Amino acid sequence: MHLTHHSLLFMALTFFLSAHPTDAKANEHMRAKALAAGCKGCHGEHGEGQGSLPALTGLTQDEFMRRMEGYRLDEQSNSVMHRIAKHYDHEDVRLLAKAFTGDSAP
Amino acid sequence: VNRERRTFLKWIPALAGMGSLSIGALAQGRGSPRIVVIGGGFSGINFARALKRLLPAIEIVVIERQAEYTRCPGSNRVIAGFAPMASLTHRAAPTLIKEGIRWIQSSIQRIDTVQRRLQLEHGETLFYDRLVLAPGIDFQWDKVRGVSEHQSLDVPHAWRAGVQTVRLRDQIKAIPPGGVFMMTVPGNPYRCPPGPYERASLIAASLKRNNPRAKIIILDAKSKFSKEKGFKSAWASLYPGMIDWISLETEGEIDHIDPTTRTVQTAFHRYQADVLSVIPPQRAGSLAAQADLADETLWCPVNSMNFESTRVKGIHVIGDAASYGSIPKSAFAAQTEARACALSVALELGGLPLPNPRLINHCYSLIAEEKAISITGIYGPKSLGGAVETFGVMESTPEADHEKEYQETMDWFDLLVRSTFN
Repeated sequence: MHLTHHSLLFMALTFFLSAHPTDAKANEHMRAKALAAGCKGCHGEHGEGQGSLPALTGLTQDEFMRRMEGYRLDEQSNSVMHRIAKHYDHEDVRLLAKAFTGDSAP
Repeated sequence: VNRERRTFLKWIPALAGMGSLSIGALAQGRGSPRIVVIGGGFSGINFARALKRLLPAIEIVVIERQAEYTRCPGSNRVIAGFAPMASLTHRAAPTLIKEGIRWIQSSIQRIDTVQRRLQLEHGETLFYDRLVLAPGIDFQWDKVRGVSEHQSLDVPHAWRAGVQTVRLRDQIKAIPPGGVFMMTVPGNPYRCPPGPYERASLIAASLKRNNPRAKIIILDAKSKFSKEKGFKSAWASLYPGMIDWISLETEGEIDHIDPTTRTVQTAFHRYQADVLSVIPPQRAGSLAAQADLADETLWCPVNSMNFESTRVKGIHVIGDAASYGSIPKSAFAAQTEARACALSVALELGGLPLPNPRLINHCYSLIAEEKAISITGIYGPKSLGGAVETFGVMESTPEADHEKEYQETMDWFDLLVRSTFN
């Protein structure tokens, strides 16, 4: 039992190291995931949206960022997204765009 | 879904044998860790399902004492007569079982935090590697002078949905023409900060139609309240002269309450009502106190990164029972806490470092049958492992389109309930 267990562990570890050599990349992925978790309450588990709550999927990364930057930098409006976006910086927005539009959906 | 699992799993070097597995499962000679969740409400269910999505191979057990869950969110509509009671009841068990999560209906007799072992009411003993406690709230009856828990159905709080909800609804329906509905509201923190004011609004909407000379008195233990501007503006325009909010500053503390005559004696005056609802001060669910997770505030302090109790290792507390900075005790906050906690637990089991969580609480309150207002807050540590801070809290303005906010409310609420229980 222990032998099996350790073999699996070793295989998983080998796979991890070969597939993703840098810790930095893993860290970035997890930071994106942690930020994206906050969006799911309104936009759904996979960003699919619901009725008047828009889907986050189906946008290009550029379009996602353009919209979020628009909310973030607009001081005048008080829509829900305006209230939220001002507490995320440019790097956060980039990570969120990757999370919801890339091949690593949250 | 499959893509998501593959993507997450490729980052996890190993799911078992690493991280902080010390006694629980490994002492039992099993290969993979067992995560036990106590409490089948919004936080408990969302945690279990989120963790299962992240780590499909892991053993997750949910223990809940009731077969059916009757939710508080949405219950103000039932009390005001705008929705049927049956709409509040959910069965999470079939969904959980289908997703490969074990469901046990039982009370907890004892939590042994040293041996990491649970003694269940129905006799089973269960070891755990991580315990996630989502016990919700209990009431501080000792803080309400004149009303015992036994008498509470005479002055129903309806702050845990069920028989109390039905009782309050029926009492309000029977208010005589021009009669008075009065409620006492506790100081912070308590479950659903804007809840009492939404309740007053919806009852006013109903009375306006059926009993237009009736009055509503709110005796508050606070000097300000959540979404105050929005509620007060709505009351002035929709129910002029109907709702009287009396703050702590005006009346002082409640001296005592007589549930048989429905009378409240404050520091200065005596108030009598046809229907009285006494919402008691609250604390973390009793299980939290039994396991020594609550501090002098009677709520459970938790680590900002993973919701682990700062008092007992290996136990995470989420939902209303937890103190996570100043995030409100709401079902929506419960699901965002649950998702953040699930990610942290998954990463810890895989031996990976934790990223900073950032939680969003977004909450609508109804001010009329088809009008709503909203509030949005962002919470989390600003530096890695730092204390939970409030990034900001903003409300919709009185000039906002409240019909549009009502449409959003329905979609937001449907998503919250569906993604939890279905």
